[in-house]
Amino acid sequence: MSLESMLKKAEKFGEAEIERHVYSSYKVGYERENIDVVNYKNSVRYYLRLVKNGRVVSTSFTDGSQFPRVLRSVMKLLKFSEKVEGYHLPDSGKYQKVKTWSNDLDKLDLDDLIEFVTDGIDSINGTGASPMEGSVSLNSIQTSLVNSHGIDLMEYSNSISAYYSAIYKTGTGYDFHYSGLPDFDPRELGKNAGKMAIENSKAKKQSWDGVVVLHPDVIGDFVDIILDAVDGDEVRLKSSPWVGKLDKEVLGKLTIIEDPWIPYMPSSSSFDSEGIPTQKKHIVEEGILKTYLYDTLTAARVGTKSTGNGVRSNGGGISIDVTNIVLDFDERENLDGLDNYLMIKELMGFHNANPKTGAFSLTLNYGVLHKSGDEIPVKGGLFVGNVYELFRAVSLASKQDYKRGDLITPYLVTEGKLIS
Amino acid sequence: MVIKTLDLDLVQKELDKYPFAEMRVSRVNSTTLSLENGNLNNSSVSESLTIGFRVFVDGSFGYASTNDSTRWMDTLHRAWKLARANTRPKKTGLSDEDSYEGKWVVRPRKSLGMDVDEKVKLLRKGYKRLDIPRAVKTVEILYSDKVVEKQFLNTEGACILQKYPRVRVSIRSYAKRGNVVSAYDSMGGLYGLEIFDVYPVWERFQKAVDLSSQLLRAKRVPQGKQTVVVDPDMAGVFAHEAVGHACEGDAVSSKTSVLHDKLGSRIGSELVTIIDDATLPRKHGSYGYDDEGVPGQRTVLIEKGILKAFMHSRISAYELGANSTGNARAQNPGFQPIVRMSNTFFDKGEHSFEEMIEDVKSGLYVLRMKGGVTDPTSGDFQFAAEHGYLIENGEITNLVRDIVLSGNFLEILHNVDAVGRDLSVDDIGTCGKAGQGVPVGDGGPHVRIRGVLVG
Repeated sequence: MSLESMLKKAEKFGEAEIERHVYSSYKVGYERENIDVVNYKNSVRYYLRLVKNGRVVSTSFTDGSQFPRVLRSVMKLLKFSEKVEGYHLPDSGKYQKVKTWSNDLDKLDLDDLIEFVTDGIDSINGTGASPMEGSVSLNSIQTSLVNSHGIDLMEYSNSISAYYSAIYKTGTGYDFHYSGLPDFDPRELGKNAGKMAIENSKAKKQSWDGVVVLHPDVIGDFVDIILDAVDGDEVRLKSSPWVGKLDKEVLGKLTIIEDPWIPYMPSSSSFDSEGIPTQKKHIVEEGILKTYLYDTLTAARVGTKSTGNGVRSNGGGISIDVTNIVLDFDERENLDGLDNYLMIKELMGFHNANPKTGAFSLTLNYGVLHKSGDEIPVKGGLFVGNVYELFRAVSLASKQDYKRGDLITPYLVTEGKLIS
Repeated sequence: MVIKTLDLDLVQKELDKYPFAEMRVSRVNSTTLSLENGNLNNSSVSESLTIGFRVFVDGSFGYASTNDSTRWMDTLHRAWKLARANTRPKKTGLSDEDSYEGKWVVRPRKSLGMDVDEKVKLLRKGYKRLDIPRAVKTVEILYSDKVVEKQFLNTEGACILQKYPRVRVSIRSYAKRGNVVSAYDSMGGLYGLEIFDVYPVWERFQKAVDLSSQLLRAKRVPQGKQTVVVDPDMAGVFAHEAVGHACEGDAVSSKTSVLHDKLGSRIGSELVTIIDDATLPRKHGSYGYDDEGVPGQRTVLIEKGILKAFMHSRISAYELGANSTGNARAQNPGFQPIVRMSNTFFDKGEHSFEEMIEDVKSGLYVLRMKGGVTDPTSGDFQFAAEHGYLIENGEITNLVRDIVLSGNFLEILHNVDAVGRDLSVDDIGTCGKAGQGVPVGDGGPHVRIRGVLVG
C-alpha cells in the first residue's frame, strides 16, 4: 500500500501524518584478532499520527498490509487523548537544501568495511596493545513524510560509524568516528585506541580539586544533560532549571549552536519528523539562553511555535531532540602551555546524572594529570559536581575544534573535583 | 505460527542446504499509554515483525534480517554470502547441545486482548485514587504491554515456538519547591492485566508520590567511604552490574573480563552467593528457550564467595570447552545472539534487617536503584540510587538523595559482612550491551557492605 493511499484511508478519521523509514545497514564487528560479526539489516517501518479535534494518537508498524487493522486499533484511543485546543498538523514550509547523502559512502561495499576493521586491528597490534572489540557500520535511510496539509517530503541520508577498542594489561582504550563521509583513517583510530590502552594501564587513583580540561568526548555527554534544560516539554512542566531564564545568563560565556545544515554531519537534515523545516539557531549565545526547543504539539500546549526539533520515537509519537551541536567560546588558546590540570577523557555513569538539578557523580575511566611538566595517567574515583556550574566556570578553550559524531567542540578549561 | 504466510517446511528445506543455518522470527504487538496528571498525553499501538537468519560456514557466521516476509529466502542467502565474505573469521563454532521441538507458552490470567479504551479507564481509575501532595507538580504514569511470539528453526532439528505477554507499569512523580526532585517506581513481568493484582501497584505509586514530596527536604548525601546497607533493588543491581557482566562467557572467552582466570577462586566473602535464573515464573528476565534454542536455566555464578560458573551462549561455550547455559539472547532477530543475563540476584542470607542496621555507627541505607554501569575489564562499577537514609548509631535517621556508589567489585565483594533473609527478585530493567537492549530482572535481600565510596 502506498503512502498516498494510506493517507487517504486515514484522513477519513481526521488529519493524518504518515512517515516511512526504509533502512539498511551493514555491520562488521571484531572481537580480539578476528571478525566475529558480519550482519546485514533491511527494514521498512511506518509511523502514523492521527489528529482530531486537538486530540492526537500514534502508531507504528512494519507490515503495510496491516494498515486497516492498525488504524482501527489506534482510532479507539482518540477520544481518550488529551485535547490540545487548536492543535493541527503542520503545513509545508521552506526547506534548506542539506547534503545528507554521500556518493563516496554509497560506493563502499562489504569488502571495504572488512578492510577498515582489519586495518584497525593491525594498527592496534602495532602499538603493543591488543584489539578488544569494535565494529564498522554503514547505514542508509530513506525518509518519506506525507500529511493532510500538503507536506510531501523525502530525504536520503547515509552515515558510517567506526569504533575500535583495545586492551593492554588492565588498561583499555578506544577511538571512534561517526560521519556522513568516509573521512577517517582506521589505522589512526586503531593507533589511538592502542596508545590509550597502554597509558590507561599505568593509571592510578588520585584526588584532584582544581583546573580541569574536558576532552571533547566527555563534553558531548555533558551537553546531552544540559540540553534537557531547553527541552520544551521540561519547560512546560516547569521541571527545567532554566524556566524563566530566556535572555538571561545561564552558562557563563559559552555558546551552544544547533546546526542541522552542516554538510554530511550524521544528524543533518532539512526537515524534522513532522515536516517542519530545520533551523540553525543559537540555543545559548555567549552564556545567554536564547531559545527553548519545541515540536508542534508541545509548542501548541504552551502557545508558541515549533523550532523544528520534533523527532519520531519508536511507537510513532514525537519527542524533542537536537541534530548537530556546535560549541564555541571566545577565549581560545593553544593549551600546550597549560600546567597543573586534570584532563578528563572518559567518564562512566552519565545516565545517573540529574538534569533537573545538574548534580553528577561520574566514575573516571581515564584522565591525565598534568603536574609540573609530568603527565600522570589517572583512573578511578568520582568526578563530582554540578553540570551547570561546571560549564559556567569555563574560562578557556583550545584553539582547535574537534568533530566527534554530531558534535563540534574545542577542549574546555574549567574547575572540577575528583574524589577517591 | 508467528507468520501465517511462512511455510516452515519450505524454510527448513532451504536451511538444510547449508552446513548450519537457523531462522529466528519475532512478532511483537504492543500498546503504550502515558498519563500525565491523569490525562492521556501520549499513546501508541504498534506491531513489529523481524525475520533473521544465521548461517555458519568454515568458522564464520553471517547474519541477515528483514521485516518483509516475502524476502526471507533472499535474506537467508545473503546471510550465507556474508559468512563467506569474512576474510578474517574467528574460527569459532557452536557447542554441542540437544535440539528441542516444542512450545513455551505463558498465558496471561487476565487477557491483554481487551479494548485499549478499557486499559485507559483502568489507569485513570487508579490515578484518581492517588492522594497527591501540593508540592507534587507532575505525575507521569506509563503503562506498556506486549504480546511476543517467537519462532526458532535450525538445521539440527530444533523447532520452537514461544508466546508470552509482557507488562510494565511505572510512575515518575516530580515535586518542586525551588529545586525539582523526583521519585520513581516500576513493576513488570510476564503478566497480563493481573499485574494490578500481583503487585500493589497503586499503593506503591502512592508511596512514590509521597516520597517525591519528602525528597524536597532531603539533603545531598555526604561524600566519602562509608558502610552501606542496600535494599533488594540495589542488591540486584550489584549482582547484575558488578558481577553478572564479568561472568558473561563472551567476555571471559576474549579475556576482557577481570574474572576470566578466576574460576574456582574466592572472590568474595562467605556470605556472597549470586545466581542467574531464567526459569523463575513470570519474572521480567524469564524465558523458555534462549535465541539459540537452548532451554533457559538456573546458573549459580558465585557460591559462598567462590566463583563457580560463567554464563554461556553456544559460541562462548564452544570456545571455552563448556556447555551453553541458555544465555544467548538478542534484542530481536535483526541482532546476533550474545551472552546476556536473565534474572540475576544475590541469594538470601541469615540476618534480619534490624541486625544489619543496629551494628552500624555511621553509614547509609540506600534504596531504589536508578541505574548502574560496570567496566568488566577492571571491575570498576558505579550505581546510582533515588534516595537513602543516614544510619547514625544503629538507627535510620535523615532522608538523603542523589546517591552514587562507586568502587571495584573484586574489593567490595570481600566487604559484604551481612546478608538479609528477605529475598525479592522484582526489579525490572532493560540491559544494554553491544547496542542491544534485552529485558532483565534482578534482586536480592538487604545486603550490608563496608568501605563503599559514596558520591
